[in-house]
Amino acid sequence: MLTKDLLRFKIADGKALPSLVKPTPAILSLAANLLGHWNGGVGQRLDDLEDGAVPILHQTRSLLIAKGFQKLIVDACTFAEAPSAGELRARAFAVAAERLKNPLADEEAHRTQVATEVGLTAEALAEQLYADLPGFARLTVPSDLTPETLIAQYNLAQCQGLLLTAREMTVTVHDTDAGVRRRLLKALRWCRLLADVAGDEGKALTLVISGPASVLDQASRYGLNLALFLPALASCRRWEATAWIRPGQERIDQQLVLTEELGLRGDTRYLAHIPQEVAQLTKALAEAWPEAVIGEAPLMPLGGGELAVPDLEVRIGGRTIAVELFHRWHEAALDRRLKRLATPGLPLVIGVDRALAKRRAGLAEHPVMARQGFLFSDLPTAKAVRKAVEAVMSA
Amino acid sequence: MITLTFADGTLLLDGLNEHLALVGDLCVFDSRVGKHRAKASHYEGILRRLHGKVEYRDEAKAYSVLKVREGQPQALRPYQQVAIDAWLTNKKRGVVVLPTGAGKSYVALRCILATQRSALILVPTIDLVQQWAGDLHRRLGVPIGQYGGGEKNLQDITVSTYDSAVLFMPWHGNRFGMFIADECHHLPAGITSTAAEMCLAPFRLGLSATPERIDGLHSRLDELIGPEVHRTGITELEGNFLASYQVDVVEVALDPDEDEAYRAHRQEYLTFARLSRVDFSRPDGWQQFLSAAARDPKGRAALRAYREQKRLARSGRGKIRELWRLLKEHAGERTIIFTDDNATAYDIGRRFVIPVLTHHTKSAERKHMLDQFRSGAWPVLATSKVLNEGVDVPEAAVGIIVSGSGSVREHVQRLGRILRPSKDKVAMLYEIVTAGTAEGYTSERRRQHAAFGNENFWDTEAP
Repeated sequence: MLTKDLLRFKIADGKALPSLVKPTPAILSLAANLLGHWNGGVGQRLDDLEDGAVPILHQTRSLLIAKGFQKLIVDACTFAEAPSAGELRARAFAVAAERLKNPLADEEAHRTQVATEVGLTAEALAEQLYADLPGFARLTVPSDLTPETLIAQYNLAQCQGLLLTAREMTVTVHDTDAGVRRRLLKALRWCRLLADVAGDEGKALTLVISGPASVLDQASRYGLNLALFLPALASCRRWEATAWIRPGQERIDQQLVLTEELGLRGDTRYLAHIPQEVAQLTKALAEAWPEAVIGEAPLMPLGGGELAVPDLEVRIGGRTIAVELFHRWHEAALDRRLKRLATPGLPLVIGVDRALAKRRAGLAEHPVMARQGFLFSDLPTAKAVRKAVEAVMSA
Repeated sequence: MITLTFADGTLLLDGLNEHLALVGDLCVFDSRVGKHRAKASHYEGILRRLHGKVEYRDEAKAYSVLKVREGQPQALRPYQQVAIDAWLTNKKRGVVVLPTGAGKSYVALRCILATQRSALILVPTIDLVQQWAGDLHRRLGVPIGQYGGGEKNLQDITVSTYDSAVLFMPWHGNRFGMFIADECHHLPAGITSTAAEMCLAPFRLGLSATPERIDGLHSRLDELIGPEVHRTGITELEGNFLASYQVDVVEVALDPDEDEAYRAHRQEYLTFARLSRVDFSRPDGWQQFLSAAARDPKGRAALRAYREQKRLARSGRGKIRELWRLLKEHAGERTIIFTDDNATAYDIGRRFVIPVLTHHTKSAERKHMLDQFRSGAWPVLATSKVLNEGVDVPEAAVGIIVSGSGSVREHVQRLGRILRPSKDKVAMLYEIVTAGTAEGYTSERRRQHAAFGNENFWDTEAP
């Protein structure tokens, strides 16, 4: 991500417009030159590499873009800490402390005398005494960025940087693919955000996204979470997001509108990712229950602006039952689900991790669990899921 | 029945609808979860209103009742006793203002003993985490948790940096019944205040020598901790409970070549600023300058010129000579050298072969450096900012400020580092200022405090 001083944006008519860069020959050349410099610097010190990059930074008309590129490159590099100089320091300080009891006439003579006593020249001692500071770390693995991916990452980071001052974001996703929507909502949960469903009209899903405490005051405390969510959102095909942000020193509210038209490149890992335990369960269920069709479940509106995000669904005999899993960190969501399922009729089976069940006395005997739930340890078994689904179907 | 739960640093209230009038002003309905939500810090207020009026189940609180005792209690000084009494009288909430070196942490310990609830102590630096944890463990003989600087260990009594607390409060904000903010002037700033808001501790204590903030946010301490319940000034304790002290401003001149370079660089950056219509008197003047400098090749040269003239004023050869002279004069005495930046601190460290303590210093080595300093084995220590606040080095008698900001708070805190009393001790604080540079103005600004003979205290930060 980029720091505040590296953000580029314009303010016009109460709107903040991120100044994104295009892959022009000049920008591509700048990106290639910086990547070439850093990729060729394996084994060199961070301080030296930064000094060596100065002429490249200053070749461009926009120093801010160049500094932003460099920040992202350095973040993507791996450095090895310099060997500790602690032992030399301990010896040198002990000698110097003795000498400081009766100091010599000038500091140069003092330094030379201490250096001699630890077996070094004064210059070598000065050079080596603090030679394990961060700037002495050596580059071991360069970034795997290309000029094109660096530019894409830079543009995404510009928008993320602006979102840091947002307290909520209204998002509309036009993708109708249930799997994409489901994983988008999973990504929300992963970023510790909550969503109010402002509209779900089949073709467009509109969410007002913020953090738990955002209903309590105007403090902008979830900007980082919203920024971390942006790569997932940008992975959708058609989407738009609106947020009120406070960029710059004046910190006046400005509207930020982001859409897929900006060409932001998201992180498709978010939306293509199926959690390992769900993939395993789907496979095991399909093998153990060949007459059933196991697949991704669509979102399930529960009323009152709430959506369930089932992990999979079972289709058999013309009926479809969704399965939703609750892990140890889903306590609040489980509360809500138990309350909603108190009224029978919803085609949903819930699985609860025993680690979570342990914290809730009497959960195993809860009427909802008896009717349409099951417990699991870390990973649900196909047998338990089938039994619970069949119980709901026969009810 | 109303059920209270702790969720992500907030309180959720289920089943409140019929009784909304009781606490409606402290919570809002959160349609995303179908329950009322309140700040965790309103826990005590909400319980107070529900108690005896309506049936409720408290699933939010997860803190313990302690049974801790101090191994060898020490006698309280009169002003400490008055401060503790005032805090107890105010239902164990409020801010105690005492000068650095006056024993604020011992006041906190006695407040923990008076409360006997799981306690979280927030401090601004890793050094202070270690110092508080070591001190509490020594006095109470129980394990003390530490959060910050790579440590993640939660105990019934835990010390954390403010930054770490902001991160862990959504998970652990219900684990503590007592919340203590050391150097509590940090608490109201930006996101740091959420550490107090996400904690449900009913009992709260703030400690500071200088709670006032130029942005006026100290007024939020009332809501986050409680009102100021006690204040004792530095001049009331000098010579009795604090060491007597002298402050000496030593002016040095730049060498002729440095002077020439200083003036040329200063002229260059000021000319650029004038032509770019940068107004340094505005709060965003420095940001204006940086923006203009980033757009223009001449601006980049101006920025380099700015840095070079500042470097010359901060660490010219005259300062180094004067520093050596002072070290000779105070040979054998425990001396802390303060600088405004790490580069100058390390430059001095290399020149004089002395330990330098900055945020880069690893945990084990910083502890070793402080131990060696306290024992007198390494009697001179250089630092930029990390020793400004709170760290207890009672043996230090001499402070030498090679460079600093215009912050009154920083200056008072640095003086506080050398004021721990001992027999016949007269602490000396030197400021080495380069004559004929902007440092003179900075030095004047930071001395606007009663400790330096000026009553018009207000904190200011240098640009």
